[in-house]
Amino acid sequence: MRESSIKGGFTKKLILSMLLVGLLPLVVGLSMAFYLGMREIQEVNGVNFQALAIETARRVDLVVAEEQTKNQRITKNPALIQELEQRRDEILSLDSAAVHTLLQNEQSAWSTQDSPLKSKIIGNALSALLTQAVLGSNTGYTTATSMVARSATRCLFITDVSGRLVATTDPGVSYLHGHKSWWTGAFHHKVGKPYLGNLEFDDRLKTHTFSISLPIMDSIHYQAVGVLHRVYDVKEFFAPTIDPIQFGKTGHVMLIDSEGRVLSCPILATGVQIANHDLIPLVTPLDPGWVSAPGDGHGNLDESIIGFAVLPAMSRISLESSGQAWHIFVWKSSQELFAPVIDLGAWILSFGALACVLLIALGILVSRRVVRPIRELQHAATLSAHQELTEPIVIKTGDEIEGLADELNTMNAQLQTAFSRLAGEVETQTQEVAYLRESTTQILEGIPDPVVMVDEHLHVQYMNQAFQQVVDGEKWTGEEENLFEIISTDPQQQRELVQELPGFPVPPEAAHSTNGAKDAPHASRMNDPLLQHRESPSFTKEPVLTIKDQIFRYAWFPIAARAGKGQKYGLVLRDATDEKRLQDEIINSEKLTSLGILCSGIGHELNNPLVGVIGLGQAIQEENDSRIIKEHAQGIVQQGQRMAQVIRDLTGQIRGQTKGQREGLNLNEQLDLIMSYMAIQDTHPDILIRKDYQELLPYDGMPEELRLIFFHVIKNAIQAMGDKGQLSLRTHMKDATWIEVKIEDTGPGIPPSHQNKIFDPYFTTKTQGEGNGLGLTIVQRIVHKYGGNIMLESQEGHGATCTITLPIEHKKQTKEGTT
Amino acid sequence: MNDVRRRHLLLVTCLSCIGMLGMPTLPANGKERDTRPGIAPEVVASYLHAIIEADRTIYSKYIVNRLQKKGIVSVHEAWEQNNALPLPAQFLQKSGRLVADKGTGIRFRLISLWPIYERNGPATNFERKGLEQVSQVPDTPYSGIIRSGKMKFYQALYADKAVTKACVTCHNKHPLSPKRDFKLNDVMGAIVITIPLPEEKKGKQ
Repeated sequence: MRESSIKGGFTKKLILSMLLVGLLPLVVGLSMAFYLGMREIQEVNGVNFQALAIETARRVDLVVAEEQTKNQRITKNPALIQELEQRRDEILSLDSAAVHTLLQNEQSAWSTQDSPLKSKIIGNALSALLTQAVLGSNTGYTTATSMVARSATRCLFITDVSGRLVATTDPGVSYLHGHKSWWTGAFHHKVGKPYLGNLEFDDRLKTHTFSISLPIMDSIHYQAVGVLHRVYDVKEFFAPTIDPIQFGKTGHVMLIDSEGRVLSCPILATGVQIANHDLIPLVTPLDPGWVSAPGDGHGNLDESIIGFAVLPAMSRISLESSGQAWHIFVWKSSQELFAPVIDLGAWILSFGALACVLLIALGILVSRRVVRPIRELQHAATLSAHQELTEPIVIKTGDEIEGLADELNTMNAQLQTAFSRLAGEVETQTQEVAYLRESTTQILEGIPDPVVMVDEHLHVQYMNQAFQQVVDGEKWTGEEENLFEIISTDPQQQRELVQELPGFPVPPEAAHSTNGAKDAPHASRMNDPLLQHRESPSFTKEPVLTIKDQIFRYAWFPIAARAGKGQKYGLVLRDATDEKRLQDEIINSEKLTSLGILCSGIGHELNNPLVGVIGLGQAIQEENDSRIIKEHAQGIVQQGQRMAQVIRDLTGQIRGQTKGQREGLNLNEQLDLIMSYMAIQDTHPDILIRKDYQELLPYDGMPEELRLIFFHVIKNAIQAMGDKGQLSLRTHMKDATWIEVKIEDTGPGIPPSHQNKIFDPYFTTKTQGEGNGLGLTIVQRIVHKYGGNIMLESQEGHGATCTITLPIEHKKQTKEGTT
Repeated sequence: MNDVRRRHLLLVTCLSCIGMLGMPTLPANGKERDTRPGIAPEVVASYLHAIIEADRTIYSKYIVNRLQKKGIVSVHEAWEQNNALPLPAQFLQKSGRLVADKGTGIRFRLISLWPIYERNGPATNFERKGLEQVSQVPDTPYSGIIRSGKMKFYQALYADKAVTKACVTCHNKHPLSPKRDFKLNDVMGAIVITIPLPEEKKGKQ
């Protein structure tokens, strides 16, 4: 799968790159063209629509203005003016009440069917004048506009200064009009002002109408004497001007008022409100323009381009009259308007799709030309990696790929050479490794000491010949057995052996195998002075392992493990059976020596009084004086008592030793006792002895062992000083639990080269017969047995100080404290 | 523009006062007659003309010219649509309409034998004759008593000359102008002032 995807990856990337490089500018360019085209179409259409709206507005304006002018001509008829001036004068001659009564009477008369007033008004000359004006028969010829106006006129009538009807073309009109807005607007307080009535639905005529009302000025053009009022059907009046203006399939012009009500539209009915109210403020400003509006006013809410313009002249009049202006609204359906843009979009999409196909085809073509030599190179590289490329690659593209092929050929040749050299190297190294393994095995087999290698779970990985002999090699079949299943040793030793491994976790099987020792907790071990302390430097060489009555010293050593493999350890044993036996014999010998010295001291102690007894006995034999004899006898008794004391002390010591019990001892007394036994002052009279004893707590120990400690240390000090010097004995409580004994001499001291060997067995500087080198070794072992420490400090030429610190057992201390 | 309105107001106020001065002989209520001595209508008309002419001169020279030179606002015939200033002639006509709207009875307007718009031509034979007269003798106003039904009015026509080059240029170039050979200081028309007069015979209605 991966290979196939790798094979197709470059082709895909190449085609994708070509598509991106080709399509991105194309899409951007086409989008820009589409956007600019859209804007251009909007701009061009908007401007065109605006121009059309202005033009139509002017045309409609002229039509209305022309109609106004024609009506104005009627107002200048002299007969009409004269009649109205007369009516004015008549009205002026009456008071307001009389005028009111007159108007009411005439109003009533007009309402009556077939009243003389109605006949008089309809049949008067002025009415005939108006009818002629509407029909246009008096002009001699008829224009199209005149025809439209004639057909659109619904009624034309004239009122006097009081608003009463003077003449009319329509007998259906009412009689009084002075209260109507068009009348007051046109009469304008006698000043006179044209009034353009806005769109309204006439209930009597059942149609939408607009009206032109003009003041009729008097003969001197001073004041208004009447009002001409002409009512038109809106649709009929404007449709001939508005409706023919159509462009495209849907483009047309519409006339609306400021409230958006339609006056004339080829599509919408007159009087209806344009559909979108939001559109009204956009298309009814007083300045012409165009807008891209959200809707077309015909029910469609698509974005539409609308041109608009207000009727320039007539709107001034209509704004002053009804507050409404008339606006031309030029519109075309969005669908038709944007059809070119949609075509452009379709063309752009088609072109984009075609370009995409072409680019993909081109990409495939190019990629094949480029990828084929690359694949050949890839194949050759794969063969080269497997040392299977025997023939040089032949690619003749004349470009970098050909250069790459040449480089690959060169590289392949170099690789061939390097590989053959490397193969020789590997063979040599393999032989070297085999030789090293064999020689290591031979070395290990040749070592007389037993060596075994285990893994982190104590499974045996290797054991040499010596080890196999120790454990009876028939047991080990070469399988990975647990060490403790091969060597037979007690659980205590197993546990110690495991604990000797630094950082080595106790394996479950090891723990299992040491179950027998579980009852001996660590704390009790610490309390037992006979157990070895791992932290004691003098005991690190002491760990022993007993296998089949053979005693071995042993040491662990780590073995470098392979990466990812567990830690391995080596265990080397050394047979110490003979050494241990010899050491025990020497200790016994030393004990006998000590006993001899002790006996010699006792003998010396007994010899002196005995000499006295003998002398006094001889004197008694020769003496007759009973008084002197009694004195000599008393002397004999004293000497006997002295001897008895010596013997009592000796027997007490022996009893304690035989009992093997510890008892509360005063170490100061024990020091004095050993000093008296050694009789130093007798044998070395020039050695000054200084004692500095402080009160000590009773020490729970065996007197013989403690005296042996002091004996060897003092003996060494005396021997070091020779015949002259000073021996200082100091004791004190170091703290509540430790007693410290210091024995100092003024001898030559210990050379630095000897200081770290002082406690080694058999190390001695004395001549033959003076010592065997085991004294201080025994001292150290006894002190450690009691959980204490011994330290020998010396500066060469300035004597030596031996400091012995012994712990007082807590139990004892408590007992003493309570008693 | 506010200055112009203030001036209109001033003019209207003056005209109202003068009108009241000039009409002591008019019936106060149609039945009684004020017998106090009054000012002759031709004097009132001359007062009015002086004010109208002064106003228009100030408007032309000190308002329109300055504002137009500084480019602040232009003068345009379709001043309402173009948010511009009215031409001096339009200023006078508009003033006359405002005065008429006040209902004081005094009217004035600008007329010509060659009007751009027909509505600004002579309305009566008297006006036509007056225009012809002042064209001949510009320094003397043409005046007389005219009637409308039973109503009587004093009307006077004062020659209106082309005082600035702009007046000449505009009328000579305007597409609707019927005369296009005006020169500076030619009489282009007349200011017509109409003052209503009281009826001669009381109670003859």
